[in-house]
Amino acid sequence: MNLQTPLLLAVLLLLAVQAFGQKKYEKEYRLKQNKVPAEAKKFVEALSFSGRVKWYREESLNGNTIEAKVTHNQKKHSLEFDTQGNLQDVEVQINWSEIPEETQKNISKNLSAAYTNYKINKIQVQYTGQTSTLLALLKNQETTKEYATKYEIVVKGSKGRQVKLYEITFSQTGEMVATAEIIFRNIDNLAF
Amino acid sequence: MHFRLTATLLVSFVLLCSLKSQAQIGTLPAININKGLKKDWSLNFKWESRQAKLPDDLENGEGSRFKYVLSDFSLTLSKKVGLNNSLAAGYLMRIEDNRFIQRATQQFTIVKGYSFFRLAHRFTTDQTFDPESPTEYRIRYRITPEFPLSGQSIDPKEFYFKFNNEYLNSFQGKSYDLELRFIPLLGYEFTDTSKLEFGLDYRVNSFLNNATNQHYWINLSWYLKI
Repeated sequence: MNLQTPLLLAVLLLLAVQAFGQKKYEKEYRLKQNKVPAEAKKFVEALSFSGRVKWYREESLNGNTIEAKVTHNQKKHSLEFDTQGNLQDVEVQINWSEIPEETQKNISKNLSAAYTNYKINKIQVQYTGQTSTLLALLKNQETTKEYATKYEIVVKGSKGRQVKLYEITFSQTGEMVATAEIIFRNIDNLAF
Repeated sequence: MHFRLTATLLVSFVLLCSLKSQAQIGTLPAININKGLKKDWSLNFKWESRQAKLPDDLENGEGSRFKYVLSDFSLTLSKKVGLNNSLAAGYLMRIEDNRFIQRATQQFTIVKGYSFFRLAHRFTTDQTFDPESPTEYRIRYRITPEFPLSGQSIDPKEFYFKFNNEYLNSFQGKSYDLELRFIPLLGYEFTDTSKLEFGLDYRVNSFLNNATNQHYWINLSWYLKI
């Protein structure tokens, strides 16, 4: 049995894959524990999360950040740090019912004004403030110190016949602060 | 990780080629070109070819010659409906043994995005018109998860893993057959509009009639959006 053809093909393709690998430039990728800035690791360790923490490095035009993702108490947590390990913000996935009633009303009113129909796909509450304050908040679920709260809501919204996905940031009181359309990646390789 | 995965796929293929078997083994290169049109319409052109290593060659030990089998040319018009779903209809022309086989296809695709992967469901019906056989009607379902191999989403210049699993119900004359396809693929995204996928394409059919046919293809597909 002559194996030359498949072997040759295999070697060529392996070389090709290696060549692509050398050119690799990533926007966001997994980070090993030993590459995580000490400050960031210390903050996360202090929270004694029940789930496994996954670390990522994100590279963008706005700069590089380090992100820790973990599921704790059945809620997805995302903690963003700068490359020195200083905490930037904390995001926790929540349910609609966890938003204060008055804020809910304002969010609903603003969404109804902006879209003919809408459906909320995902809600995250975002906290920013002093590291010690956010540590206390995450540990005890409350703190008397000052911090800022925003809501990041992913909405499937229609305007006329056009349906799109948006990420909308609301203030603590439910005012619309920013809207960004979520651009879908090309699906051709999944359809054909 | 992507290197290990590729190596595993390739070693598997080489081992398959070395087996003495009645299974059909070959290569399946394809080019997919997609052209976006106005108002969420798009046009897909696909060329796919098959080169098979014939069982006789295997049995006689005459060497590993790959012989050209057929070429498919298809044109599909699709319309995005809803957020990430599409409806499509197409026409395929197969050139095999100097004869033309025609196929009409209709499909509905749903793509869902999750935190760390995408999942596609594809429902297809097709009708194959071969001058030498009764018309074949097929009802197909394909499920495809796609995972990034680094980070949480697939970005340009990154590798990904895709797994096609398809179930094809075929009705021809009074006969029925079920074909299963398992296609693990390693993908590389040059840009969002240009992707290369490589892997194994395993197909098994006629097992309901106790006459199992197995096909192993090495799949290399290029997706380009213009």
